[in-house]
Amino acid sequence: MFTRFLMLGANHRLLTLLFLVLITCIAGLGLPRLKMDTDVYSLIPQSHPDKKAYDQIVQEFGSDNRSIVYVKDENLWSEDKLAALERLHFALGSLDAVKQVDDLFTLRSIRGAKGNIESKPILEHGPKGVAAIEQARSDALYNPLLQNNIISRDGTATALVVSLYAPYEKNKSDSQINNTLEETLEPFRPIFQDVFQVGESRINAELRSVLHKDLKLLAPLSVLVLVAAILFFLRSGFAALVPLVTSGLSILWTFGIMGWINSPINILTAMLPSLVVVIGSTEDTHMISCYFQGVFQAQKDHRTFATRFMMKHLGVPLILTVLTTALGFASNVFNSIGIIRDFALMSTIAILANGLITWLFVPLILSVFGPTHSGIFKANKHLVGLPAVFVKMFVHVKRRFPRAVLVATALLCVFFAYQFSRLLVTNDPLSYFRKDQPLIVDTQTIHENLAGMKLFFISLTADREKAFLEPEMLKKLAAIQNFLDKQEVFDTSLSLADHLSLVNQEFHGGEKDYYKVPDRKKLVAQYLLFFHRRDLKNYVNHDFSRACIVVRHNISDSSSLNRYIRELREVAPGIVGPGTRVDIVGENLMINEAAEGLIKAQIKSLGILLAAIFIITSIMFTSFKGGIISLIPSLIPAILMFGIMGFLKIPLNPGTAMVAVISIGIAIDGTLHLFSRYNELCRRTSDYDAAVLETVHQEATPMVTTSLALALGFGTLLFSNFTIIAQFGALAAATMVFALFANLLITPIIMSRVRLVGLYQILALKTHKEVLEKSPLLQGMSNYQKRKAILISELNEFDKGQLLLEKGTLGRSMYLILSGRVDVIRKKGDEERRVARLGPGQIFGEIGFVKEIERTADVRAITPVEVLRFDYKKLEQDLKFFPFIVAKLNFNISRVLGERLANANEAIDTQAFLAEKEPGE
Amino acid sequence: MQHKKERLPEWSWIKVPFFLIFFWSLAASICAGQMSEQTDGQLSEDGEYHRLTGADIMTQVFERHKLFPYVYEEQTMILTDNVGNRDVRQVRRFSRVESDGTMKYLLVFDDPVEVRGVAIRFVRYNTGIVENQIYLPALGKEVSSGQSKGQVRQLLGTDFALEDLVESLDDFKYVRLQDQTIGKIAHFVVEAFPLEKDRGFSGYNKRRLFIRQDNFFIVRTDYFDLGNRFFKQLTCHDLKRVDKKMWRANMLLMEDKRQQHTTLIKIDQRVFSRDYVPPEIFNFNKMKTNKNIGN
Repeated sequence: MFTRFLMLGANHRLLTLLFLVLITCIAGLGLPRLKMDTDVYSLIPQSHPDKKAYDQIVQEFGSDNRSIVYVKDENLWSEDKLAALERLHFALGSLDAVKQVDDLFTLRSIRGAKGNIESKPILEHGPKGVAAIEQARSDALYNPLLQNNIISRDGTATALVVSLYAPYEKNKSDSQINNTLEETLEPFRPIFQDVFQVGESRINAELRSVLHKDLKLLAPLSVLVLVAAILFFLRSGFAALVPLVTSGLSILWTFGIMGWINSPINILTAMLPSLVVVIGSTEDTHMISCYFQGVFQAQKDHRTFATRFMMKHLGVPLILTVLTTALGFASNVFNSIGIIRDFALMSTIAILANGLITWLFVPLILSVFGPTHSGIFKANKHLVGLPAVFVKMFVHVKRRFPRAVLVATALLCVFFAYQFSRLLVTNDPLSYFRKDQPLIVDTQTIHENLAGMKLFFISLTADREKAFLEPEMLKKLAAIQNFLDKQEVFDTSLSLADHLSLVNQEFHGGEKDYYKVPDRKKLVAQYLLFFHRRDLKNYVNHDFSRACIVVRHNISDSSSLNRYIRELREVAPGIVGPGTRVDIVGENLMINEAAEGLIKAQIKSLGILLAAIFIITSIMFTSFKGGIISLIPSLIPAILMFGIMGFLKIPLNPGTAMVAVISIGIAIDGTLHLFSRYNELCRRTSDYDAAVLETVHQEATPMVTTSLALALGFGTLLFSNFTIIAQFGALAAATMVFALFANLLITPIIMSRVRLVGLYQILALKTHKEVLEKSPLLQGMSNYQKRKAILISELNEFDKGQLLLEKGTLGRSMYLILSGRVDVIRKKGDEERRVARLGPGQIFGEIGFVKEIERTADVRAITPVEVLRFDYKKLEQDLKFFPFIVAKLNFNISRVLGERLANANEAIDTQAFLAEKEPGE
Repeated sequence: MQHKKERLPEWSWIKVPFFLIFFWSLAASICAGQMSEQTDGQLSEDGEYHRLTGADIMTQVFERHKLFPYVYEEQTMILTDNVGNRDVRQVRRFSRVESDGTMKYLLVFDDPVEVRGVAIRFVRYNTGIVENQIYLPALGKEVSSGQSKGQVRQLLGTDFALEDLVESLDDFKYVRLQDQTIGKIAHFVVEAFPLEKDRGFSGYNKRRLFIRQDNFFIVRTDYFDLGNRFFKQLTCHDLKRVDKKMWRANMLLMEDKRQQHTTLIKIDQRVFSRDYVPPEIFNFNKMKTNKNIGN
């Protein structure tokens, strides 16, 4: 019934085709609704504890959503340049999206000397005449509030800080705002040496534009690489076409669903086409490879046979791998960062869609159009090409250095696990871009000549009005700023204390010793008369109960920034004392702090995924040992990957955070195929080494094909204009190679040392429960003892006519028949004589089990037979701590032997008696 | 109109016409009186107003309203920002015009308590030079803040520039524009341009003045920056006639359209008296000890 379920697509082609077409059409209708969203706000967790404080501070002091227009010219302080600068000032101020412009035309100069004080904007209008210009220049460079903030040290560069309305306030997108700013700057580019603007609108607009380019380039490139790889390895155009079709449909369904549910494309979900193409092709390649094996084995009706062969062998691994890969992605669906959450959801949908399509479509198409010849499987069954190289390598290593390989791998893992502790984390949107991208170059220019464009607020809230007229409170602002200076990582900080210090200095004739907060409240209040509200509204609220320090910086490394902010958070309350609340908030702070959530999310996802894999494989093998062992080949690539990241200082960011989970999901795919195949082979042979070798031989081609195709496919992401995607691609490619190494080298070595019982076996045993209970071998044993004894055995299957034991061979195995019948045959020359016919519950081979001697007879299956094979050495080893079970088994074997001896003696006596009686009677 | 006092015959219908004539005369004289109060500027012949130049109009403005030599005012100043937050100050203003044309102004803050005693003094000499000093009681000394009226913008955090408060007829060139009717009242519209010698010191390219034709009072001033962009407006409200021809506004509202900030000055009390504005009041040294000024 399960096989029929797996063959649904092939058995009901028309219905399947109609279903697929219907879903495709519905999904297709969602495509026009698909949008793109590159807003960095989606990097902030909605549950961020500082968000409320941030919103309040922004409302009171103005937004940190500011664009900086940078103007540089060697002759900036000339009449025509200043006139142009003034025109630029007004051009920006007249834009609908602009709330306010702060620059040399609005910021105040306060200068005092010889009993005079002057308070006026630096450049209220373009000054005329050399003297006036020189005075203005001098005023600008003199003012400590402007230096390295609005004017560079050498006076040749200046900033116009443009406060913008949020896009939703003016019903404009970031792209529109960015375009407007660029259009405004355009006429000024020929006038000044350097003019550009940097801000959130540009960042978002460039994210969007670069994303477009990536999508246009990378998706087709991934496809090309994949097709080429599969063509190369499987030597079949059909094999290359199938993944394209399944991936194409998956992408269409996924994007269509995204359109329907209003989930926009962001920088992570833009990776989906590449991911689906390469990941989705994994199963397709395994299946096609298995199909070709079926073609090779089929004697007639190749397509149907091969399709059935394929689904029979790969149906369960297909389902399991789709589930584990989907689970890997889905583990992030509750992440607090919106962008990761969206990616988790949509990638899960993409993988499930791909699984559904693969399950239905691939059998359908192969059963109708599948090739009837295999290019890769020859009559001599020899592998060719790269897979053959891997197999040879494996055989050589396994034969000569299995332990050394395991030890070396373990040491490597320990080393890289240590490197993991040095992992950096970053969530800064600017870190997504390459260093040579104009946006990054421009932000660096601003940082070097003025101050970094990123800012955050340190807000002090007192419990009374007019608190920040008090010198003691103002000194606290200054003290915090001193601490910031000591940290030596932030570019500038400005507060009310700075403004008052400057006035105090100037009211004392410009003497530097007076650059400090006034020591009387009345003096503070009187100094403040010299400021317009506009001058101070970024630094103190209206009733002077709350003051704000505005800090500018250029730190992109989230872990560094978070460390310094943490330090500040520890120190600041001590400086301000009780009764005053300190809030350290900013949009870029929240984004960077979300980076720490990335690590936690990663650990959580990995934990969930590994737990799920452990549970699934433990069930599969009914053994926790089996579950743990199957984790090893999955963990190795993840450990190596994280270690390399730490070693090479590749940061963990929203892109690279995905790699571990994806790599485990894909690596487990190979592991499940290997174990599944190995278990299957173990049912037919007692030579485990041969089973391991055969497993590797059979799985090498699809595994090498998929791993290298995946590595190459992910490698195409190196061409991305985003560093996070390029890093993701490089790491994922490397992880595929690690996974191949783990699966084709480490896993088989482990497999050959460990015996695992499969679910199949347990299920089979359940169906033969009655037989087992009545079997003389297990008589008088408790349920626990029976289970223990059974789990040591192996379930083998033999076809009709197959020889189970051969006379004259040595063996220490004993067999318990579960189903079917066997004949025990003695040969004398050419003559064969059936000695016994055995059925369910009966045992044979017990003499060899007890003592290693040559088999005394052949045992042949006369029907398909299922047997439990008990190996003496294994039993001796595994049950050494269970002497009672061993004793019981030995006792039962003795009884069986005794009964057989008794029966044999009776038969001899009867024959002798009959022989004696015959002549006279 | 004098009423002839006559003995009239005893009541009879013949008296009615005389009563009618009397009452009509009374009514007419009252109306005439009203008209002469309200429209003494509007000469009986319309052509006169058409011949007035901008300078002529402004001469009338100054002569009527701006040259009273001794004015003392108690003001409430309300500064309002773009989100509606308000700062309230109590200020006393002293102004004096000397015989040689020198103008002196003094503003003294009384409230809030932290700024009590802060005083700003500006003197405009008949040469056009303006000096201003600020006295901060907490500092214990005064400082000068420049010799050009154009150098002080946003005086003491308000939306007034110094040149808005200290102006003389001779500082500008006036150009009359088309008259306008605003609120059913006819207005002269005059543009005032700083003279060439003052260009570079003034913060304005021009001001546009709206002057009521009935009383030659400037009720509205639009300010244009040096790029000729309109950015600030002063409107006068609650006009009161204080003398035969002199009017004063009891409320002045300056709105900075660009910064969305306003300064409202409400005159709580005004006294036209020399005794309220003695010359020594403008002396800071005396000010420091003068209890009337406060410290």
